Formats: sequence, C-alpha cells, structure tokens
Amino acid sequence: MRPFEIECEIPDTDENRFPEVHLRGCFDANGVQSLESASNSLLESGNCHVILDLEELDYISSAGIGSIMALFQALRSQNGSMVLLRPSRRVMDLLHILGFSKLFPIADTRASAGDLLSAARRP
Amino acid sequence: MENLAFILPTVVASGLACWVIFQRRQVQAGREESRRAVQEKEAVIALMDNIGERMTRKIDLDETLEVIGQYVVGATRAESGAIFLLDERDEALRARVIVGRFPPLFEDEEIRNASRDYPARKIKARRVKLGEGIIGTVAQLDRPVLITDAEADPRIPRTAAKFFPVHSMVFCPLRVRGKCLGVIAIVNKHGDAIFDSRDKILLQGLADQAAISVDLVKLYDVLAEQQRLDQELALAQDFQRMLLPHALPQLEAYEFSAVNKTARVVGGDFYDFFPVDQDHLGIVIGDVSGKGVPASLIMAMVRSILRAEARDTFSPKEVLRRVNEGVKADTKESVFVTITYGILDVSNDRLRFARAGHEPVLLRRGDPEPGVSSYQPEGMAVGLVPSDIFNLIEEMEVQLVPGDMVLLYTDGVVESLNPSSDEYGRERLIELLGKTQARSAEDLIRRLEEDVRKFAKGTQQHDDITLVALRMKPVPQGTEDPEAEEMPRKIAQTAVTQSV
Repeated sequence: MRPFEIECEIPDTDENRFPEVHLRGCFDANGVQSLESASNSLLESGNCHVILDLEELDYISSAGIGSIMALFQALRSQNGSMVLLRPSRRVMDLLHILGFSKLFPIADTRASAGDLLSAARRP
Repeated sequence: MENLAFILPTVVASGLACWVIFQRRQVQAGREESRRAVQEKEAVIALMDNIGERMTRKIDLDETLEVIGQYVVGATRAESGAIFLLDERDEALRARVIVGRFPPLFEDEEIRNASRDYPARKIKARRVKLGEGIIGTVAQLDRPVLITDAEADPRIPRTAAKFFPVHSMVFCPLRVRGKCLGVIAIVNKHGDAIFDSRDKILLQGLADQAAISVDLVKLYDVLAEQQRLDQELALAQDFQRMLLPHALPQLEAYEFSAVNKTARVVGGDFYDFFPVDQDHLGIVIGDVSGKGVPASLIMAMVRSILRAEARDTFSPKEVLRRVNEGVKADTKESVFVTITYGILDVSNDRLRFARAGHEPVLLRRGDPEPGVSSYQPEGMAVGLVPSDIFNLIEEMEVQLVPGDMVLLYTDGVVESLNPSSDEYGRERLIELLGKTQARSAEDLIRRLEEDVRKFAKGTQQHDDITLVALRMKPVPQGTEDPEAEEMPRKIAQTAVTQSV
C-alpha cells in the first residue's frame, strides 16, 4: 500500500474554482496531523467550501475518518461545505457502512463537485 | 524490574571491583607511589561502597548524586562542592547537588547587587549552556580543569568570591560511554592548602566511577518509567476485561457465544448482554475509533450510558439516539463509536436492531433453506454528528426460527490481513457462515476464529477482533433434551444481570 500523501490546492482569489485537498495512499493516524494543517490553511485563507479528492486514497483507518469528520465540522462552523470526489469502491463501502454517504455529497466529476459546492454556497 | 534492582548495584560493584583490582595490580607491579595514591584508591572504593549500599535500598538519581557529592567533598578534603548534570533536551547543565557553600560562577545584576549571600537554590535554578563559563566549558571540552588561584584566574568571575573567599577549585567531567553526563566541582581545600594536580587526578577517578553510577541510575529511571506505563496498560486491560460480560446469557431456546481479541494490550472493541426486562435481552457490539487506553475509557462511558438508557426501552434506535447525545457531549468530534444494538424478544423470538455505523448484522437461516442475509439499516456512527442528523437512524426487525444463527462482528475481523496484505473480507465471512456445519453458537465462533487465524498465517493484526453469535436452538427431534428443561425462559432469571 502506498504511503500517505496530502496536497492542498488553494486557488488565487481571481480563479473561479474551489480549493481541493487530495488524499493519496494509506490514511491512518500518521496522516491526521497533515490534514489538520491543511484544514487550518484553508480556514485561515477564508476557504470554507472544499473538494476532498479521494480518487487515489487506497485505505482509510478510523483515525483518518475522524480527522475528515473534524475537517467537515470545522468547515461547517464557518457555514462551509465539503464534497467527496470519486472515492474508491473500498473507501466508498466504508463511508456507506459508517453512514457518511448520507452526510457528505459524493461526486463523480470535478465539475459536478463544483456544482454541488456552488449550490451550497448560495444563501 | 526487581531483577534490575538487584543487578544494578551488582554491576556497579563489579565495575568497581575490576577498577580496584586493576589499580591494585598497578600497585603490586612495583609502581607503588605514595601513601596518598593508596588513599586515592581507597577513596574510590569507599565511594562505590557508599553508592552500592544506597542502591540496594533505593535507586534514585537525586539520592545517588547526594551520596556522591557528600563523599567526594569529604574524600578530596574540599570545603564544598557541586554536581551539575547535563540535560540533553536543552543542552544545558543544572546544579543538582550542592554540598556546603558553592560560589555563583556567573555574573549578573542580581549577584552584583546581592550583599549577604547567594543561596544554593538560585544556583540550582540557573541553566548553564554547553560552552558557557567554566562549568559549560569543562562539559563541552570534556577535560578536567584545576584552578590554583581563583582570584586571579580569568576563568572565574570576580563576583564568585563576593560572598566567601574562593582560593582553588577543581572541575572534572562526568564521562561514560564516550559522552559527558555533567560536571563535578570542588571548592577550597581544607586548611590553607591549595588543590594540586594530584587532587585533580583523584577527583577525575572519583568522577569516572560516579559517572557509571549516574548513567545506570538514569537508565534505571527510563526502565522504571516504561514499567510504570506497562503497569498502567495492564490496569486498563483489567478494567476492560471487567467491563466485558463475565457470563453468557442462559436461555432455554437460545445459545450465545462471544470472543474479543485485542490487537494491543487494550483495545476499543466491546460487546455486552443485559436484561431490558423479563422478556427482552439487550445485545451490543461496538468499536471505538482509536486504540489503547483512551479508547477503552470511551468504551466504558458508552457501555454505561447504553445500559442506563436501555432499561425498559424497547426501541434500539431510540436507545442509540440517547447514547449519541451522551457521547457527543463528552467527546472530541474526531472520536466516534460504531455500535449495533439489538433487542431479542424471547416471548415471540423477534430480534429488533439498529446500527450506528457498524458492520452489517448477518443472519444465517437454518434448514430447510440455509442462506445468509446481511442487514444494514441506515445509521451513523455515535459521537460524530448532532442529534438532528443522527436521529435519522433506522431500525429493523427479523423473526427468528429454530436453527437460525445471528452473527455480529467488528471490522477487525473482515480487515484481518494475510502476509500479502490482502484483507479477509466480508465476502469470505458471509461465505463461511453460509456453508458452516457449526453445531452451536460456540462452535460457530470457534470455526470463524480458526478461519481468520488460518487466513492471517501469523500476520500481526492492527485492530481488535470481536465476534458475537446467537443461535436459536433447533427443535429437538424425538425425545426432549433433559437439560433444556432446566434452562430459564425469562431474561430476568439469567446470569446476565451485572450492574454498571
């Protein structure tokens, strides 16, 4: 299994797109701190509508799930929202079991993820 | 650790003995110098005796340093002395022991303004960086220094002699295994004598032996801390075992079995059985996110809330809603618990259950139409979301008939890994459950455990494994089972009545 990697893309204010957090590899307790840092960067830069790209996420542990939940709560506290992009079948199965599929919108394409966030952003 | 308490002084004593023998051989080899040299060696031997004797009673760093400090000052005929230890975390030295009056070897406003005395506690509070002043330099260069005229020596600040006369001093590094642990210093030789190079050699001999003891005691402290942590874990493990049911329910028409294997010393999985009323038995399986002691404490909290809320409530989803409220109020948002809670009504053999983010409930029908059904009513893990979202949780009910088996399990079972890092998987579990010839709930658990064990081929598992099975006994063919008549029908008469 690939080691955990995280990449946080925060677009410039003039770019008409949403920030994206890419999670890759095996997300266990070792990755929690990195997602927390990404979460802080997003909120400090005033970004509270986020695409969480899970396409290359091979595995997520309960600690990883907990930290995604913490990110979600942090965004929500700023009236923000989060869309999960293309989770693998395995990750999707876990999200489904945990009941998360009811909580987060899940998108198949970047465009539809953007549409969902745009809809959430409207008052 | 008891062994260590015995071994430590023995090692120290052996080290000393070797040193002494070596020294004595030198003496016997015709290189006997003077009576003073013999005295030096005797001083070292006596120091080691002192430390060794103290260690057999108690192994404590400060006490060991105190013994060394007192002895060294006496043996070198110094008026006073101090031991500075290096703290590797901030690369600074601090005076840990001061015997008699020790001069401040630094200058600052406070010292310049002080008129009467400069107390030892202030010297102890001062951090001396590596390379700073005479103490920091001795530690950094790892070389002894003899000062024969403190008043004129530029390495000694002028304010050192402000509170009492300082004539001569010796500083030696405490060195062992190629590293410096600190510095030992002595001040003013008794009478009007001045320390000389022989005093420096004596002090270094004492310092070398003292360093071995200090090193061992520090090592002992690390091991003692580890032992303390191990003891805490063992306590938590006992605590967790105490929270799991001591006995399985005993009912005329049902059999129960359960197993809980923790991946670490203490895990976050749990299961429970308790009476809801005389016709209803509560059955719980849960998994707290995270592992170790914190997970087991949350498990204890969930168990208590669940038992308290379950009393006389016959809707599993209602109970889980209340558990979520209780847990949500008390935990961080990143901690959650997955739970399946079922209520078995023994008056009509119906099992009603709700699932808070937990693995599906598996039902294996008995003959004549065996097959496995997986039930996954909607529900989010407990502790993650506020009531308005959590309360969307659903519940289901199944009618059991004789021969049916219900299996609850935690994700540690299906996520068990083999040496190629493949997961055991839900499909394999369902397949095994479908074809099993298990003759009882206990037999089923045993076979499942065995299959997981065979699959894993000794691979170390990272998650707890918990399995809970119930089986509605098949209707006896022909003669009735005499044992069955002795079993209670009602829940309140069963053994599962532990209080919270």
